[in-house]
Amino acid sequence: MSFATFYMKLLRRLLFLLAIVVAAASCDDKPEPRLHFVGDSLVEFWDVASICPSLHFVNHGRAGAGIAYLGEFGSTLAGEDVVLLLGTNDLWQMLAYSPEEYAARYIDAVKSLGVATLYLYPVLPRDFTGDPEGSQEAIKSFNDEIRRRLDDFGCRVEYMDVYDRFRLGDAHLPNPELYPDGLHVNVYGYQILSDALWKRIF
Amino acid sequence: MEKNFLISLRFMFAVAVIFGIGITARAAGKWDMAAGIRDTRYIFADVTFDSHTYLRAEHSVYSYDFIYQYWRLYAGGKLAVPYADFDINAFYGRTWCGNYYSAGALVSCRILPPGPVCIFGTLNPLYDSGFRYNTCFAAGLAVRLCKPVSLRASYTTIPEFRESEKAVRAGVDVHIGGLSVVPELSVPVDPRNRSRKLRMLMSFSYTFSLNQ
Repeated sequence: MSFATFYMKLLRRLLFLLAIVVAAASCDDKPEPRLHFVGDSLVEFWDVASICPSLHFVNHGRAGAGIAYLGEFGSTLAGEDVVLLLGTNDLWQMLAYSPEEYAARYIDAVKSLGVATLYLYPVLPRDFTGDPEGSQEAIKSFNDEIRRRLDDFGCRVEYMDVYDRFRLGDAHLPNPELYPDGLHVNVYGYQILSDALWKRIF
Repeated sequence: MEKNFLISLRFMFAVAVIFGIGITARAAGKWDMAAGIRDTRYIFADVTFDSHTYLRAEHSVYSYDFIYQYWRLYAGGKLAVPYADFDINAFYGRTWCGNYYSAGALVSCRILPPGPVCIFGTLNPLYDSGFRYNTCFAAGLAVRLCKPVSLRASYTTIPEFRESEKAVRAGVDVHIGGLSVVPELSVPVDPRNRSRKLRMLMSFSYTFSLNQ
Protein backbone atom coordinates (compact mmCIF):
# COMPACT_ATOMS: atom_id res chain seq x y z
CA MET A 1 0.00 0.00 0.00
CA SER A 2 1.45 3.37 -0.98
CA PHE A 3 1.80 6.14 1.54
CA ALA A 4 -0.81 8.34 -0.24
CA THR A 5 -3.35 5.50 -0.38
CA PHE A 6 -2.86 4.78 3.26
CA TYR A 7 -3.43 8.43 4.17
CA MET A 8 -6.57 8.64 2.04
CA LYS A 9 -7.97 5.60 3.80
CA LEU A 10 -7.04 7.00 7.17
CA LEU A 11 -8.61 10.35 6.30
CA ARG A 12 -11.85 8.64 5.27
CA ARG A 13 -11.96 6.73 8.53
CA LEU A 14 -11.29 9.85 10.57
CA LEU A 15 -13.99 11.78 8.73
CA PHE A 16 -16.42 8.93 9.33
CA LEU A 17 -15.61 8.94 13.02
CA LEU A 18 -15.99 12.71 13.13
CA ALA A 19 -19.42 12.37 11.52
CA ILE A 20 -20.43 9.90 14.23
CA VAL A 21 -19.29 12.24 17.00
CA VAL A 22 -21.05 15.23 15.41
CA ALA A 23 -24.24 13.20 14.93
CA ALA A 24 -24.23 12.17 18.58
CA ALA A 25 -23.47 15.75 19.67
CA SER A 26 -26.28 17.20 17.62
CA CYS A 27 -29.03 15.42 19.59
CA ASP A 28 -31.42 18.03 20.88
CA ASP A 29 -31.66 17.46 24.62
CA LYS A 30 -33.65 19.53 27.04
CA PRO A 31 -31.66 20.80 30.02
CA GLU A 32 -31.72 18.23 32.78
CA PRO A 33 -33.80 19.13 35.85
CA ARG A 34 -31.89 19.84 39.01
CA LEU A 35 -32.29 18.01 42.27
CA HIS A 36 -31.99 20.19 45.37
CA PHE A 37 -30.59 18.55 48.48
CA VAL A 38 -31.93 20.36 51.54
CA GLY A 39 -31.17 19.61 55.16
CA ASP A 40 -28.68 19.84 57.98
CA SER A 41 -25.09 18.67 58.36
CA LEU A 42 -26.06 15.21 57.16
CA VAL A 43 -26.80 16.81 53.78
CA GLU A 44 -23.97 19.34 53.92
CA PHE A 45 -21.38 16.59 54.40
CA TRP A 46 -22.93 14.33 51.74
CA ASP A 47 -20.49 14.03 48.84
CA VAL A 48 -23.26 13.67 46.29
CA ALA A 49 -20.88 14.24 43.38
CA SER A 50 -18.91 11.17 44.34
CA ILE A 51 -21.82 8.87 45.11
CA CYS A 52 -24.16 9.94 42.31
CA PRO A 53 -21.74 11.39 39.72
CA SER A 54 -24.21 11.86 36.88
CA LEU A 55 -26.77 13.83 38.91
CA HIS A 56 -27.33 17.52 38.31
CA PHE A 57 -27.72 18.61 41.91
CA VAL A 58 -27.44 21.55 44.27
CA ASN A 59 -26.43 20.87 47.87
CA HIS A 60 -28.22 23.31 50.22
CA GLY A 61 -27.20 21.43 53.38
CA ARG A 62 -26.39 23.60 56.38
CA ALA A 63 -24.92 22.26 59.61
CA GLY A 64 -27.19 22.87 62.57
CA ALA A 65 -30.28 23.57 60.46
CA GLY A 66 -33.77 22.74 61.65
CA ILE A 67 -37.15 23.33 60.07
CA ALA A 68 -36.73 27.10 60.50
CA TYR A 69 -34.11 26.87 57.74
CA LEU A 70 -36.82 26.01 55.22
CA GLY A 71 -38.27 29.51 55.64
CA GLU A 72 -35.12 30.99 54.14
CA PHE A 73 -35.86 29.47 50.73
CA GLY A 74 -39.00 31.50 50.14
CA SER A 75 -40.33 30.48 46.74
CA THR A 76 -36.93 29.63 45.23
CA LEU A 77 -37.66 25.90 45.32
CA ALA A 78 -41.22 26.17 43.98
CA GLY A 79 -41.79 23.62 41.24
CA GLU A 80 -38.39 21.99 41.82
CA ASP A 81 -37.55 18.48 42.95
CA VAL A 82 -36.17 18.40 46.48
CA VAL A 83 -34.41 15.78 48.59
CA LEU A 84 -35.09 16.50 52.25
CA LEU A 85 -33.19 15.08 55.21
CA LEU A 86 -33.95 17.35 58.13
CA GLY A 87 -35.14 17.29 61.70
CA THR A 88 -32.44 15.82 63.88
CA ASN A 89 -31.44 19.28 65.15
CA ASP A 90 -35.02 19.87 66.25
CA LEU A 91 -34.86 16.98 68.68
CA TRP A 92 -35.47 19.26 71.66
CA GLN A 93 -38.55 20.72 69.98
CA MET A 94 -39.82 17.21 69.24
CA LEU A 95 -39.53 16.53 72.96
CA ALA A 96 -41.11 19.85 73.93
CA TYR A 97 -44.12 19.44 71.64
CA SER A 98 -46.09 16.27 71.01
CA PRO A 99 -44.97 14.31 67.91
CA GLU A 100 -48.29 15.25 66.26
CA GLU A 101 -47.78 18.97 66.87
CA TYR A 102 -44.22 18.98 65.73
CA ALA A 103 -45.02 16.89 62.64
CA ALA A 104 -47.73 19.43 61.73
CA ARG A 105 -45.17 22.28 61.92
CA TYR A 106 -42.76 20.25 59.84
CA ILE A 107 -45.38 19.54 57.17
CA ASP A 108 -46.45 23.21 57.05
CA ALA A 109 -42.83 24.33 56.60
CA VAL A 110 -42.29 21.87 53.75
CA LYS A 111 -45.62 22.73 52.12
CA SER A 112 -44.66 26.40 52.03
CA LEU A 113 -41.79 25.54 49.67
CA GLY A 114 -44.22 24.47 46.93
CA VAL A 115 -41.91 21.78 45.58
CA ALA A 116 -42.94 19.48 42.73
CA THR A 117 -41.58 16.23 44.09
CA LEU A 118 -40.30 15.65 47.59
CA TYR A 119 -37.83 12.84 48.19
CA LEU A 120 -38.20 12.54 51.93
CA TYR A 121 -36.02 10.73 54.45
CA PRO A 122 -37.08 10.02 58.01
CA VAL A 123 -35.11 11.53 60.88
CA LEU A 124 -32.33 9.02 61.43
CA PRO A 125 -31.74 7.36 64.80
CA ARG A 126 -29.10 9.13 66.90
CA ASP A 127 -27.24 8.76 70.18
CA PHE A 128 -25.08 11.86 70.51
CA THR A 129 -23.32 13.27 73.56
CA GLY A 130 -25.84 15.18 75.69
CA ASP A 131 -28.94 13.79 73.98
CA PRO A 132 -31.85 14.00 76.44
CA GLU A 133 -33.73 11.02 77.77
CA GLY A 134 -36.42 9.73 75.42
CA SER A 135 -34.71 10.98 72.24
CA GLN A 136 -34.98 7.70 70.35
CA GLU A 137 -38.67 7.33 71.20
CA ALA A 138 -39.38 10.93 70.15
CA ILE A 139 -37.69 10.41 66.77
CA LYS A 140 -39.54 7.17 66.20
CA SER A 141 -42.90 8.76 67.07
CA PHE A 142 -42.17 11.73 64.82
CA ASN A 143 -41.28 9.44 61.90
CA ASP A 144 -44.43 7.37 62.47
CA GLU A 145 -46.52 10.52 62.39
CA ILE A 146 -44.86 11.79 59.18
CA ARG A 147 -45.29 8.41 57.49
CA ARG A 148 -48.99 8.49 58.41
CA ARG A 149 -49.45 11.99 56.96
CA LEU A 150 -47.59 11.83 53.64
CA ASP A 151 -50.72 12.94 51.78
CA ASP A 152 -50.70 16.22 53.71
CA PHE A 153 -47.50 17.52 52.10
CA GLY A 154 -49.46 18.75 49.08
CA CYS A 155 -47.00 17.43 46.53
CA ARG A 156 -45.74 14.14 45.17
CA VAL A 157 -43.84 12.49 48.04
CA GLU A 158 -41.35 9.68 47.67
CA TYR A 159 -40.75 8.51 51.23
CA MET A 160 -37.54 6.57 51.66
CA ASP A 161 -38.00 4.67 54.86
CA VAL A 162 -34.38 3.88 55.72
CA TYR A 163 -34.81 4.31 59.48
CA ASP A 164 -34.59 0.60 60.24
CA ARG A 165 -31.38 0.28 58.26
CA PHE A 166 -29.65 2.79 60.53
CA ARG A 167 -30.67 1.33 63.88
CA LEU A 168 -29.02 -1.45 65.77
CA GLY A 169 -31.14 -4.59 66.06
CA ASP A 170 -34.47 -4.06 67.78
CA ALA A 171 -33.26 -1.05 69.74
CA HIS A 172 -33.73 2.47 68.40
CA LEU A 173 -30.05 3.19 68.86
CA PRO A 174 -27.89 4.02 65.84
CA ASN A 175 -25.79 1.27 64.33
CA PRO A 176 -22.20 2.24 65.25
CA GLU A 177 -20.94 0.80 61.97
CA LEU A 178 -22.76 3.60 60.14
CA TYR A 179 -22.01 6.51 62.50
CA PRO A 180 -18.60 7.81 63.61
CA ASP A 181 -20.15 9.78 66.48
CA GLY A 182 -23.75 8.69 66.93
CA LEU A 183 -25.08 11.65 64.91
CA HIS A 184 -23.29 12.01 61.56
CA VAL A 185 -23.14 9.08 59.18
CA ASN A 186 -20.07 7.69 57.47
CA VAL A 187 -19.56 6.63 53.85
CA TYR A 188 -21.49 3.39 54.41
CA GLY A 189 -24.40 5.37 55.80
CA TYR A 190 -24.33 7.70 52.82
CA GLN A 191 -24.33 4.70 50.52
CA ILE A 192 -27.63 3.56 52.10
CA LEU A 193 -29.10 7.05 51.67
CA SER A 194 -27.90 7.21 48.07
CA ASP A 195 -29.16 3.74 47.14
CA ALA A 196 -32.62 4.52 48.49
CA LEU A 197 -32.74 7.80 46.57
CA TRP A 198 -31.40 6.24 43.40
CA LYS A 199 -34.20 3.66 43.34
CA ARG A 200 -36.81 6.41 43.61
CA ILE A 201 -35.35 8.82 41.09
CA PHE A 202 -34.87 6.38 38.25
CA MET B 1 -35.54 4.81 23.89
CA GLU B 2 -34.91 4.32 20.19
CA LYS B 3 -32.80 7.47 20.10
CA ASN B 4 -30.73 6.26 23.06
CA PHE B 5 -30.27 2.92 21.39
CA LEU B 6 -29.00 4.62 18.24
CA ILE B 7 -26.61 6.76 20.27
CA SER B 8 -25.37 3.63 22.02
CA LEU B 9 -24.79 2.04 18.64
CA ARG B 10 -22.85 5.12 17.52
CA PHE B 11 -20.60 4.93 20.54
CA MET B 12 -19.95 1.23 20.10
CA PHE B 13 -19.26 1.79 16.42
CA ALA B 14 -16.85 4.60 17.26
CA VAL B 15 -15.02 2.31 19.69
CA ALA B 16 -14.89 -0.36 17.00
CA VAL B 17 -13.47 2.21 14.56
CA ILE B 18 -10.79 3.23 17.05
CA PHE B 19 -9.70 -0.37 17.46
CA GLY B 20 -10.20 -1.06 13.78
CA ILE B 21 -7.91 1.77 12.76
CA GLY B 22 -5.29 0.53 15.16
CA ILE B 23 -5.47 -3.06 14.04
CA THR B 24 -5.89 -2.72 10.27
CA ALA B 25 -3.40 0.09 9.72
CA ARG B 26 -0.45 -1.47 11.49
CA ALA B 27 1.42 -1.81 8.23
CA ALA B 28 2.09 1.88 7.75
CA GLY B 29 3.41 4.43 10.20
CA LYS B 30 3.90 4.03 13.91
CA TRP B 31 0.80 3.07 15.82
CA ASP B 32 0.53 2.95 19.57
CA MET B 33 -2.32 1.75 21.66
CA ALA B 34 -2.97 2.55 25.31
CA ALA B 35 -5.48 1.37 27.86
CA GLY B 36 -5.98 2.27 31.48
CA ILE B 37 -7.95 4.11 34.12
CA ARG B 38 -8.37 7.85 34.67
CA ASP B 39 -9.28 9.28 38.06
CA THR B 40 -10.40 5.91 39.48
CA ARG B 41 -13.78 5.86 37.73
CA TYR B 42 -13.08 6.05 34.01
CA ILE B 43 -11.60 3.27 31.90
CA PHE B 44 -10.21 4.21 28.51
CA ALA B 45 -8.51 2.93 25.40
CA ASP B 46 -6.87 4.96 22.68
CA VAL B 47 -4.85 4.65 19.51
CA THR B 48 -2.13 7.14 18.56
CA PHE B 49 -0.70 7.49 15.08
CA ASP B 50 2.92 8.48 14.73
CA SER B 51 2.94 9.88 18.28
CA HIS B 52 0.84 12.81 17.06
CA THR B 53 -2.82 12.06 16.35
CA TYR B 54 -5.03 10.07 18.63
CA LEU B 55 -8.57 8.88 19.23
CA ARG B 56 -9.75 7.86 22.65
CA ALA B 57 -12.86 6.20 24.07
CA GLU B 58 -13.62 6.44 27.75
CA HIS B 59 -16.31 4.87 29.92
CA SER B 60 -17.27 5.44 33.52
CA VAL B 61 -17.38 2.72 36.16
CA TYR B 62 -19.70 4.46 38.62
CA SER B 63 -21.21 2.21 41.25
CA TYR B 64 -24.74 2.21 39.89
CA ASP B 65 -26.90 1.11 36.98
CA PHE B 66 -25.39 0.80 33.52
CA ILE B 67 -27.76 3.22 31.80
CA TYR B 68 -26.44 6.08 34.00
CA GLN B 69 -22.84 5.35 33.10
CA TYR B 70 -21.10 8.03 31.08
CA TRP B 71 -19.02 7.60 27.94
CA ARG B 72 -16.80 10.09 26.19
CA LEU B 73 -14.98 10.19 22.85
CA TYR B 74 -11.87 12.27 22.24
CA ALA B 75 -10.05 13.22 19.06
CA GLY B 76 -6.79 15.06 19.44
CA GLY B 77 -3.17 15.68 18.63
CA LYS B 78 0.16 15.86 20.43
CA LEU B 79 3.23 17.88 19.62
CA ALA B 80 6.64 17.80 21.26
CA VAL B 81 9.20 20.58 20.84
CA PRO B 82 12.41 21.18 22.77
CA TYR B 83 11.58 21.86 26.42
CA ALA B 84 7.80 21.61 25.94
CA ASP B 85 5.02 19.36 24.75
CA PHE B 86 1.40 20.05 23.88
CA ASP B 87 -1.75 17.96 23.81
CA ILE B 88 -4.98 19.33 22.33
CA ASN B 89 -8.23 17.42 21.98
CA ALA B 90 -11.97 17.87 21.57
CA PHE B 91 -14.44 15.58 23.26
CA TYR B 92 -18.10 14.70 23.45
CA GLY B 93 -19.71 12.52 26.10
CA ARG B 94 -23.07 11.50 27.49
CA THR B 95 -24.77 8.97 29.71
CA TRP B 96 -26.29 5.92 28.04
CA CYS B 97 -29.79 7.01 29.03
CA GLY B 98 -29.08 10.50 27.69
CA ASN B 99 -30.04 12.39 30.85
CA TYR B 100 -27.17 14.77 30.11
CA TYR B 101 -24.34 15.34 27.72
CA SER B 102 -21.15 17.35 27.75
CA ALA B 103 -18.69 18.57 25.16
CA GLY B 104 -15.50 20.55 25.25
CA ALA B 105 -11.79 20.59 24.72
CA LEU B 106 -8.63 20.00 26.71
CA VAL B 107 -5.63 22.14 25.82
CA SER B 108 -2.63 20.94 27.77
CA CYS B 109 0.95 22.17 27.88
CA ARG B 110 3.97 20.84 29.74
CA ILE B 111 7.10 22.96 30.13
CA LEU B 112 10.18 20.80 30.59
CA PRO B 113 13.19 23.00 31.38
CA PRO B 114 16.52 21.33 32.09
CA GLY B 115 16.51 20.01 35.62
CA PRO B 116 14.08 18.06 37.76
CA VAL B 117 11.15 20.51 37.73
CA CYS B 118 8.35 20.46 35.17
CA ILE B 119 5.39 22.85 34.94
CA PHE B 120 2.09 21.80 33.45
CA GLY B 121 -1.27 23.35 32.76
CA THR B 122 -4.60 22.53 31.12
CA LEU B 123 -7.39 24.75 29.84
CA ASN B 124 -10.78 23.06 29.63
CA PRO B 125 -13.67 24.87 27.93
CA LEU B 126 -16.61 22.70 28.98
CA TYR B 127 -20.27 22.67 28.07
CA ASP B 128 -22.65 20.52 30.13
CA SER B 129 -26.32 20.29 29.17
CA GLY B 130 -27.31 20.90 32.80
CA PHE B 131 -24.59 23.19 34.16
CA ARG B 132 -24.10 25.05 30.86
CA TYR B 133 -20.77 26.58 29.84
CA ASN B 134 -17.80 26.73 32.17
CA THR B 135 -14.12 27.45 31.58
CA CYS B 136 -12.09 25.15 33.78
CA PHE B 137 -8.36 24.88 34.21
CA ALA B 138 -5.56 23.11 36.02
CA ALA B 139 -2.00 24.24 36.75
CA GLY B 140 0.76 22.57 38.66
CA LEU B 141 4.29 21.35 38.85
CA ALA B 142 6.12 18.07 39.12
CA VAL B 143 9.51 17.41 40.68
CA ARG B 144 11.46 14.40 39.51
CA LEU B 145 12.89 12.43 42.42
CA CYS B 146 14.60 9.79 40.32
CA LYS B 147 14.21 8.79 36.70
CA PRO B 148 10.85 6.98 36.90
CA VAL B 149 9.33 8.78 39.92
CA SER B 150 8.05 12.34 40.24
CA LEU B 151 6.06 14.14 42.88
CA ARG B 152 3.28 16.29 41.46
CA ALA B 153 0.87 18.89 42.78
CA SER B 154 -1.72 21.01 41.03
CA TYR B 155 -4.64 23.33 41.53
CA THR B 156 -7.64 22.41 39.41
CA THR B 157 -11.21 23.32 38.63
CA ILE B 158 -11.63 20.56 36.04
CA PRO B 159 -14.48 18.25 37.09
CA GLU B 160 -13.61 14.88 38.53
CA PHE B 161 -17.18 13.84 37.91
CA ARG B 162 -19.48 16.34 36.33
CA GLU B 163 -19.56 19.62 38.22
CA SER B 164 -16.54 21.91 38.38
CA GLU B 165 -14.96 21.75 41.83
CA LYS B 166 -11.95 23.65 43.16
CA ALA B 167 -9.34 21.26 44.46
CA VAL B 168 -5.66 20.78 45.10
CA ARG B 169 -4.34 17.48 43.84
CA ALA B 170 -1.09 15.97 45.02
CA GLY B 171 0.45 12.64 44.27
CA VAL B 172 3.16 10.57 42.71
CA ASP B 173 3.81 9.90 39.03
CA VAL B 174 5.58 6.61 38.35
CA HIS B 175 6.56 6.11 34.74
CA ILE B 176 8.38 2.95 33.69
CA GLY B 177 8.50 2.11 29.99
CA GLY B 178 4.94 2.07 28.70
CA LEU B 179 3.45 1.92 32.17
CA SER B 180 2.34 5.06 33.96
CA VAL B 181 0.79 5.01 37.44
CA VAL B 182 -0.44 8.18 39.15
CA PRO B 183 -2.04 7.88 42.59
CA GLU B 184 -3.25 11.28 43.84
CA LEU B 185 -5.17 12.86 46.68
CA SER B 186 -7.76 15.45 45.72
CA VAL B 187 -8.33 17.96 48.51
CA PRO B 188 -11.26 20.44 48.34
CA VAL B 189 -10.32 24.10 48.75
CA ASP B 190 -13.70 25.80 48.54
CA PRO B 191 -14.75 26.39 52.17
CA ARG B 192 -18.38 26.96 51.11
CA ASN B 193 -18.72 23.40 49.88
CA ARG B 194 -18.32 21.13 52.87
CA SER B 195 -19.91 18.17 51.14
CA ARG B 196 -16.82 17.77 49.03
CA LYS B 197 -14.60 15.20 50.73
CA LEU B 198 -10.99 14.20 50.34
CA ARG B 199 -10.82 11.79 47.43
CA MET B 200 -8.21 9.26 46.50
CA LEU B 201 -7.77 9.14 42.73
CA MET B 202 -5.86 6.52 40.82
CA SER B 203 -4.84 6.81 37.19
CA PHE B 204 -2.79 4.38 35.20
CA SER B 205 -2.15 3.56 31.59
CA TYR B 206 -0.20 1.02 29.64
CA THR B 207 1.02 1.97 26.17
CA PHE B 208 2.29 -0.51 23.63
CA SER B 209 3.23 -0.42 19.97
CA LEU B 210 0.97 -2.07 17.40
CA ASN B 211 3.77 -2.37 14.88
CA GLN B 212 5.65 -5.08 16.68
